[in-house]
Amino acid sequence: MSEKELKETILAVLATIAPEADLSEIDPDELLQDELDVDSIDFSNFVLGLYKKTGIEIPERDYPKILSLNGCVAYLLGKAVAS
Amino acid sequence: MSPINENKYLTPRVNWVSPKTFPDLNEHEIHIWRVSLSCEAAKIAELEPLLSPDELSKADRFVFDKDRWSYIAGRGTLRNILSHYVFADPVMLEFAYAKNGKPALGGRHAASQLKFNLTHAQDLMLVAVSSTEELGIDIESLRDVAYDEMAEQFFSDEEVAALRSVPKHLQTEAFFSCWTQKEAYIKALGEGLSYPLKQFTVSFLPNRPAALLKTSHSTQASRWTMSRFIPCAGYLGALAVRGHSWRYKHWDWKD
Repeated sequence: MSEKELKETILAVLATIAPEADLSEIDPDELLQDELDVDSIDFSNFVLGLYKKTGIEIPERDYPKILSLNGCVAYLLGKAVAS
Repeated sequence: MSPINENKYLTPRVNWVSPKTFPDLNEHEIHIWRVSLSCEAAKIAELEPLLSPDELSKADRFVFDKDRWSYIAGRGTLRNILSHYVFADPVMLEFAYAKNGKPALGGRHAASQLKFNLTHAQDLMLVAVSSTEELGIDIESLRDVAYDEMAEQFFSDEEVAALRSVPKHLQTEAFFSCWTQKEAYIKALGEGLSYPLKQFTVSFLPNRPAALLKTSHSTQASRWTMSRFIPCAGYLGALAVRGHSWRYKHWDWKD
């Protein structure tokens, strides 16, 4: 998966947990939880959704690395390359 | 164990009281404040000047006005509530944040030892306050979630088995009862989302009291008090605090 495809995948998953949000307005370096006002269940659903779409399992210890859009892209890209 | 009531969950509904004067916080009490974050423009204009520069900066980063207003209402009201406990001007309060973002009173009021935690969902915020013990509180709005999948991923084996034992029509509420207790516990510890949820077990069956049953480290589960409650229709909440024999006081904030 390319960086562009990964970003589109992440945004597609975000759209399912925050359907009212205008994702084009997201600051890619800000915390998604603040940008989209998602709670812990939404965030956990986000992790599950990413797993379903990419097959990449994200352990809880790595959650701090996926809290922003750019962080999430970099993390998944690294995992995809490693596998 | 008594059989599960087939028709309803046994989560207690909170009876909120509007205090006539600001209540004293005794040593063995926990105050829980219910705050509506749905405010008129005039109220937002009143609360906004209470916020610190970093809070105002955060408020300005919200994409939607409703989220910005909700944040200002929450922060401003939190300052008003806490200021009563430490006899301070709400503008003068400073917050310090632990590595996982848990707020505490900082600056000159850090010495007050006042402990608090807050949670919000949609237009509802709860603030829990203790004079002695760290605590954690969580609320969730009840909604459709893929609770089977989420439980498999985030609950302990015992919790997954317990959830499956609940009658189907009570499983959503059971899921949220488990989730809010787990969140309240990690918030009380000062941990964040990266704390492994599978490594501890809570009691959430409809016919059993809320409790921390098992942890994976040295923290003794029996030292904790867990409680679950319905703050108002459509929501479920839980509170975790070390120690026992707490008296809960539920106050409605009507400022």
